[in-house]
Amino acid sequence: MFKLYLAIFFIVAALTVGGVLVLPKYQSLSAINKEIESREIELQSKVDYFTHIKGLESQLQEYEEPLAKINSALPNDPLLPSTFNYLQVTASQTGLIIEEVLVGSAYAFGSQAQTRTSSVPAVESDIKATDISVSLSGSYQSLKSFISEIEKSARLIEIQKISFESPKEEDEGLFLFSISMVIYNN
Amino acid sequence: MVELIHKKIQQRALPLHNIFFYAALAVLALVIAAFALLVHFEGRSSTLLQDLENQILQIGTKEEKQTEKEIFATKKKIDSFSKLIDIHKKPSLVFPLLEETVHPQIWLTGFDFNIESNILEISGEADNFRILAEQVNILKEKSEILGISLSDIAISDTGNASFSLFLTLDPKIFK
Repeated sequence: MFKLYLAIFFIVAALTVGGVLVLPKYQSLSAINKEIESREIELQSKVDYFTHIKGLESQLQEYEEPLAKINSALPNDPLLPSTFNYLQVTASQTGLIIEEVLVGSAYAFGSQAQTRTSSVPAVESDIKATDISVSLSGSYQSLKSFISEIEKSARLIEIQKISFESPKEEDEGLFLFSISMVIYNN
Repeated sequence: MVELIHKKIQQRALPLHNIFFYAALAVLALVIAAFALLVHFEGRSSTLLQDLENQILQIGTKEEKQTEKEIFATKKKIDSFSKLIDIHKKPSLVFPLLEETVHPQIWLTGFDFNIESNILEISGEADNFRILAEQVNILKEKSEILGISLSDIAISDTGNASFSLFLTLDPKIFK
């Protein structure tokens, strides 16, 4: 009879240990294993990501020349003095004289100038734009050469407006041109 | 006889008690063993998790993060450049178009070209209105010109026909 009581005690003890210790431990182990699985996925994705980054780095090294051109077209700084110098040199090479240069303040591309017209959609970007207005005097042929040179410039310069009137007698046959342009930087 | 039967029953019942006792003991032992195993595996898993967390922290060294930063900056620059190239126009192409289409008996006095809106405003003078009409017809035949608006028609001091023309140009020609 004593053994029967002891057996009942064992069963009760087993159930108690199972419920109080084993089950919570099992749940805790399951949670840790789930955490391990997610960490393994995270680790693998991080490894893959940095492998991909390394791959991109070596790919970019193959495109050094085009990237250098992009950097020249879109510098990190407005580089106004060098832009003015370029405009002045190009004007004199094409037979024009710069009469006046006006510079507007920099604004975010897509926020101001681009929203003024419907042809260019307003887009969010980190590109900064600076308006420049140049007045030049010279011949019509010189203007054509000047505009062509500006279009070929390594720096991306967007001409927005060109205007002139035929010269008056006192202007000695020289046109007075007005050109509005935008330069960009990142 | 009755006593004998009772004794037999008692003798048969005893092994059942024993089986129940040992079975209960085995269950308890199994539960304790399971607990011990779980404690062991939990410890091992915790160590493994800690190792994984350390490995995750070690990935992405300073140089790798710098490379990542540079690549993102390059990507941003390429994207910006693509956007700008998409809208980039070559306004110099308006001059050959104008030279081709202006009537030889017309002289221009004003030129105002808004590249953003593709609208070219030209003002000028013609010997007479017939020549101005011919000029308008020449412009209408050009596929690059999408719209023509004639305004400010007047007779100038010199007796010529002065005018202003607003031409809507096809943006494709400046690409």
